Amino acid sequence: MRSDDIRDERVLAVRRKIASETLQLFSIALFIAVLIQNIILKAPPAQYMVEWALLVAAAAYSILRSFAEGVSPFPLNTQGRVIIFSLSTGAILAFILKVALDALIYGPEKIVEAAQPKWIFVATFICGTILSFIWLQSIYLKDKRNHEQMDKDDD
Amino acid sequence: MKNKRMKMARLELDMSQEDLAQAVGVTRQTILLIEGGGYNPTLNLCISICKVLGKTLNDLFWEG
Repeated sequence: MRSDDIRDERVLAVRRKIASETLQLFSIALFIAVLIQNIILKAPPAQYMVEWALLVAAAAYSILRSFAEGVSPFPLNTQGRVIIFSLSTGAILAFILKVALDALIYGPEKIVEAAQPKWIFVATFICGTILSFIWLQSIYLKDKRNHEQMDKDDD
Repeated sequence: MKNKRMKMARLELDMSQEDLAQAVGVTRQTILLIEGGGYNPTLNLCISICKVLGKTLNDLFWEG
């Protein structure tokens, strides 16, 4: 049966925007919930492992899908943004490792009593930042070269 | 910016906003917003509107 629903482009665009904003708010709330449970409440990893796994899966899907579609997931149009995204990636990797180690060392049901050795997270943060900087900087430079070449061709 | 030329072309054919909306497959509010300058339509929608109203893109949408 044919649908008589009108596919109004303006309505579709507004619906997509609302869906996107809802998903962003939901992701931020999920991230804050995991942070509070892990750092402030020192909750057992089993309590927030599902939220954490969903966040990691959602981030991976977003990045991989962006690359598959040929779109940069990060707006890398300035050198400053490359540095900010590198630092953010390093911090997120360190937090992901912390949650994973909490679950591995203390077990999913036990309450995390002692803090993890800090050097592990500092090292993960530094390595993650450096590696993501190398990767993002190469994308940024390649993109810049392409734009310069396009400008030359245009002249 | 208001699109008075589109409104005039529609009235010349004695069409209501609802008629035009149905003909191009959008809601009446979208036509209202295009005519009032509150929404920037896609090229596909512009072409559909031009076909229904018997005008060219230049006639209705080009700001000289």
